[in-house]
Amino acid sequence: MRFRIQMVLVLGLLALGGIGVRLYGLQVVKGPWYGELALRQHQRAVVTRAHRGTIHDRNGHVLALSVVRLSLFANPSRIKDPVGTAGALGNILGRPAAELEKRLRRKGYFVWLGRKLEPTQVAAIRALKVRGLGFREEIKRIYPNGSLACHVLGFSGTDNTGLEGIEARYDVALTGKPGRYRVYRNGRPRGPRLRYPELEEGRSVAGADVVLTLDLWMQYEVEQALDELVRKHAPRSATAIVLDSATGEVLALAGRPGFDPNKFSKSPRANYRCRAVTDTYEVGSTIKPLVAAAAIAEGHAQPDDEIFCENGSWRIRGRTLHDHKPFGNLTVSGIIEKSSNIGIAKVASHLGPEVLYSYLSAFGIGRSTHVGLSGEERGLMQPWSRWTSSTMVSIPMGHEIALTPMQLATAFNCLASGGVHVAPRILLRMTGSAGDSSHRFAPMQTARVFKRELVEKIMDPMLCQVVQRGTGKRAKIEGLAVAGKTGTAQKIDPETQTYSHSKHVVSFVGYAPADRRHGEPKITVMVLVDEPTKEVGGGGQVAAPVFRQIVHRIFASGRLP
Amino acid sequence: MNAILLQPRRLDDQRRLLLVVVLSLCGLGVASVYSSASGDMELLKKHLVFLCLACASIGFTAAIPLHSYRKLAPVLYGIAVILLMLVLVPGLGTKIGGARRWFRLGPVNFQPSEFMKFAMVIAVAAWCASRGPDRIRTWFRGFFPAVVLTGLPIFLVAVEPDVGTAIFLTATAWVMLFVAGISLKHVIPTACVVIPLAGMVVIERFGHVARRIEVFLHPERDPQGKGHQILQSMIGLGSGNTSGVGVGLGNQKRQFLPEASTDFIYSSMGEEVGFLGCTLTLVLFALLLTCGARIALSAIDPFAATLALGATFALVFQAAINMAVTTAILPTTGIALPFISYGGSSLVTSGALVGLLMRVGGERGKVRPWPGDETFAQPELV
Repeated sequence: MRFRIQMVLVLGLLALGGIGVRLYGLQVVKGPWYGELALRQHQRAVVTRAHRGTIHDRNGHVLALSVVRLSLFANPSRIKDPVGTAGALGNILGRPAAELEKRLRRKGYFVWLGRKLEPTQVAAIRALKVRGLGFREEIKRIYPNGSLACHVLGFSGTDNTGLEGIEARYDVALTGKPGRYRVYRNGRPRGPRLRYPELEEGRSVAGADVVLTLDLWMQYEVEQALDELVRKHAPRSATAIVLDSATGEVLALAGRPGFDPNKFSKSPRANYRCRAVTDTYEVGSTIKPLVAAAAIAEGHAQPDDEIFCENGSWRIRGRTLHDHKPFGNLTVSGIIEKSSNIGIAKVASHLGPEVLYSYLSAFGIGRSTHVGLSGEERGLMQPWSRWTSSTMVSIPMGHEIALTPMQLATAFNCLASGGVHVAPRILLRMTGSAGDSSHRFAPMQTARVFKRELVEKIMDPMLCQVVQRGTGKRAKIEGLAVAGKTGTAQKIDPETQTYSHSKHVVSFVGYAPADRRHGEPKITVMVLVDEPTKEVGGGGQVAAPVFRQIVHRIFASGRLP
Repeated sequence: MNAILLQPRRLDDQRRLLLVVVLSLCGLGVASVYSSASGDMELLKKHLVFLCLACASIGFTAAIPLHSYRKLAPVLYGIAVILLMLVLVPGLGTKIGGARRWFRLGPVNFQPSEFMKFAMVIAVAAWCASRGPDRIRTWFRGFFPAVVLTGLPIFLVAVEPDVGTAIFLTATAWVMLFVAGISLKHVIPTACVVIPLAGMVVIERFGHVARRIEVFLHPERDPQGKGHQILQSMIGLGSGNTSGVGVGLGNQKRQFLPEASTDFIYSSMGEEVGFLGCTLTLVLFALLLTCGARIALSAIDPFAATLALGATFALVFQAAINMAVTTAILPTTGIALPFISYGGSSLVTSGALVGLLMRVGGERGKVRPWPGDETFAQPELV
């Protein structure tokens, strides 16, 4: 018996020893490996989104801001009466009860019922006191002015990433830096989490506030004018830009068709496009004053030189040019005033291709304006070495080169600014969340293109004549010297590959006040209308009245920059 | 307890060590339960109440003289068997998790198989003593009645089903019989037939056992589901490394490790106190085994010796099985770690077994020789 007891003792101790060996293997030898496994299942990285920056206009009005909204979810396993709940929620949320009921009957523990609800809806749902419903905070981007300046602002998506416009272009700055920390989680999916200070990996930094050069009030007036235009002429699209003549700051930029960034998904994607920078057009006659100025600056012409305009039909280099009506002898000023194709072709013929090209480049044609909007096109201008014999005839009348509306406004602004090319811009400043990192962007680069006297003595009067007596009469404003130029360009018909007689791009570009004895021009305004379908007419009939309305309202109000 | 405390003169080194070991284990248990309950003070309070009950049961069983146990053995055994039968009756026994193991008595759940653990140790010891060393070696008067005596309760427990406790009862009873002198010529061939047969029946009858074995062999096949428990247990132990992450700082108990304060408390402990703490626990159980065996060796008669060894084995075997399960040496059985795991029945039964050991250690002075066995030196007549 003694022996057997000792045997049990020894075997028992051996067994316990075996467990000890196993423990050593598990804890000491493979300890680090299991430690790794444990850490992987115990810790979770949590990312906190930073507050997205606000977008303001130049006067501090809010154009876009982020607010905290509550989103409604349900735990279907705890919903006792799906039919009744769905009915009540359907009334509050304004959605079909059947669809909500389907969600409430799903298997599982979590379904979204409504995202980013209005506070009144939240209060109504809370008052229902239904078990199994819950709210979670989400950030909603709000555009308080609706569709105003939609093409500039763009929008950000449900996950608060900028998708279009300024929201996309300055997304990184607006987003800020997300914070990161690690938590010890609980074995259950939604169990409590423990947060330790030593597991912080970086605090979130709020996104920068962006201040745009836009003036909300001017923007409103421009959009009103465009709405009227759309009612009257039903164009395919229309764009209007107001620049500060001296600084190139974009005071207003509007387009049609537009969209409401609060409900962007309800509009077709094509409407999101900011056509002022993404679309290019052969702009036609609006380019003529620039070519004429170049010819005068180079000494090839004087404003009073008489040029024979071939009575409306001129055959040159294998093609025939036409005017909208026959002209005999016209001065250079008269050519601009009456918008003669033949006349401007003759004026430009003395400029060599190389010189004309360098002038057009100096106006900013053929390269991006870098105004600060996303998706900008460079436009189309062949290098002069690749020009054909007819290019020298086509370009002065605004064919064979394509410009974005922004390029057209910028190029024309060379005259308004007194002969200086000023790069346009839309971003006035950015304010860091720390408050002290406010950064005001210096005015963009400038380059002199013409002498000041040329603009003051020759071009201003010439363009005022256009408005006073010429094709732009409908842009005339009593008591204000307005300089401008109309443009009516035939579009290329995609079917026939030739210029269409029914489809036009009409435009009007000008500046005011154009009398420099009383001060420099304040604003440069460009209106471009693509394919008006009702009451079809040229730039003088369709675009000039819009220009007039915009300039008149701005000067009448006295709210100049 | 009274019996010991009132006779300090007779509390010799052996029993003092035993008490120190048991109280140390209980202390570790309180700390572990407190930590694994993660601030659930209710659980800790209940554990402390159970500990008091366990101390009372040590005192109670230690106060009863050995000859009374011997006399009472058939009664205890009979009551235990009847209770085991009654618990199987659908109206009386409560079914929890597919097994009918509990009587519901008001707020308390009583498990008759726990009582059987205690009764079995006394019954087998008494039966062995009544047989004597010669008859126990025979087939018909030794081995065969032993099979019947131990087989009935084991069968009743197995059909509850509670395979873990059945295995535990089998092991304890037959180690006691082995010590009492049953012939290995009978045991080994029978075991060779019965164990595979019982294994087959169990696996056939109770799917969960087969699943547990399958999971045990390949826990990584289904880490989210069935392999979860074993994997989590190993992660808990392993991530404790040498010295642990610190008491109270473990994260496995936060719903990662199932049964963190009962069956898998050793793993939860392992995470917090590491290899050193786990080894300390292991050493304490080894000391318990040594103490128990030495008490058995110096026992007054074969009944006392068998009883002491049975009680010791019952405690250490449970501990070894539990630790082997948490370290993935054996498949999951659902056996608690004595003195440490949270749970009333386990604590009270363990306490009762310690009480038996204390009693055996205390009755060495009184002599009742067993004729013909030289194991026990003839004591001097007092």
